[in-house]
Amino acid sequence: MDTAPLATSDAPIDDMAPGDVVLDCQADQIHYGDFLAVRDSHVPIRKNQITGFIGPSGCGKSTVLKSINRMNDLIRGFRFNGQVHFHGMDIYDKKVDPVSVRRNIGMVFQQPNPFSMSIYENVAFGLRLNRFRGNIAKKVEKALRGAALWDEVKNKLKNNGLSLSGGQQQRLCIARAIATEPQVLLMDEPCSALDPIATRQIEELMVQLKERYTVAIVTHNMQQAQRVADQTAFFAVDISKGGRTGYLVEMAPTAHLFENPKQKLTKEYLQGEFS
Amino acid sequence: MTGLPSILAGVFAYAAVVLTMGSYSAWAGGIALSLLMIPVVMLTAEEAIKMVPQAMKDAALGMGCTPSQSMVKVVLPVAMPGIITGVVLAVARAAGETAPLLFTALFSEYWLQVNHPTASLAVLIYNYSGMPFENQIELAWTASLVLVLMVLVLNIVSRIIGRRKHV
Ligand SMILES: Nc1ncnc2c1ncn2[C@@H]1O[C@H](COP(=O)(O)OP(=O)(O)OP(=O)(O)O)[C@@H](O)[C@H]1O
Ligand SMILES: [Mg+2]
Repeated sequence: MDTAPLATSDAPIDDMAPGDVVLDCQADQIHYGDFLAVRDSHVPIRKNQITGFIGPSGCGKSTVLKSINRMNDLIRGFRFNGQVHFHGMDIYDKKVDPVSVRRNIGMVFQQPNPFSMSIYENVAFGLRLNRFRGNIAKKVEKALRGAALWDEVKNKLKNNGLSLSGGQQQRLCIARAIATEPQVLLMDEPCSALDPIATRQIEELMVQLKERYTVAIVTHNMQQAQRVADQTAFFAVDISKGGRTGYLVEMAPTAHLFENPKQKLTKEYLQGEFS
Repeated sequence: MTGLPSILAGVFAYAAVVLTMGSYSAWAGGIALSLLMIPVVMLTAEEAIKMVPQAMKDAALGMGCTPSQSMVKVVLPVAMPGIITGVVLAVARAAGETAPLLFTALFSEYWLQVNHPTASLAVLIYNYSGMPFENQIELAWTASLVLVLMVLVLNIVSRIIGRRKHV
């Protein structure tokens, strides 16, 4: 069970400069059973940057994002054709254990989903899972500070994580995800269940997080993509071949994509969204 | 399986245990009663595990849990009150059963010995209530009261456990 290739081959990542491609997702075809959900989408994810995924509903943003840490593996009929290069290896290689992939690539979900245990244990969960031998309390504090939640919860670490407000729960989930210091953090519409103030807090947090981590975020909110993302990937649905297949239309630095999109489709979509 | 007539559990344990071991015994009674309890426990445990939100299971997976780690560390602790409730209710039900014990544990006037016939409240009530002596009929009434109180207490306990910490 303890497959360590990802954890031990840490040489290349430390040599990387911010902006280098740390994770290269080449999704040729993603199927759910017979249904082709996504095709021909190449999404490079750059170190210490935030990569935003935008596009209409059902275009496969979540599908691609979850493919990156193999969260879809348990869905019956899911098939990924392509590669995801990370640490110089393909995480879909047969030799790679999906569990170790998920320990290195953290995930924050659309609905805040803390465990039904204390705030402290929520954050310590990943550390214990990885049999961390050092000072857990220190790591927990660091993660909670990293998620901008420490001051609000430092006096009630023993309370159940579910007793927090929605925005606090989402920050707790972020703390839980960063406690083990994953190299990449995936977020699937992390603010969609939150009010504008909590959304702002999470956005500010993301910008801080990119100093230390690499972040990929799905969002429906164009302003949010503009505020936080360094690179933006625009997906659309192709209905020409009968199905509803999502694909990457265009990916560029955020300012370029929003100011002068190269593809007509991108332009139309952005105009629609902003008018 | 929950509808299994309790006497059949007794007949089964009679064939499987009493005949092979050669005597009525507390073991055989225990096996007959646990046969009756298993479906109740399984159904409530399954329900309790299904009640754990999928989002929480996804979170466990996303943290890098194997499916068994997710079960042990995340799902079972949340489902545990429900599971214990089921167990307690099943015990309460088994405590009142007479039929399956008639072919298995039988009855005895002596203290518990696992390899020999053994007394139980339910069979004691059944036996003594048919006796012609005032004294034993009164004992049967007392035993009934004790049994009812035990079942009541078990039901209350299961309520208290079931109410705790539901997500
Ligand atoms: N578990 C699944 N089984 C079968 N099909 C699925 C599954 N999950 C998603 N799909 C299909 O794959 C396509 C892409 O879905 P996905 O959830 O990736 O879209 P999305 O871009 O994230 O949409 P949204 O913005 O609404 O979240 C959709 O047509 C959807 O119906
Ligand atoms: Mg989605």
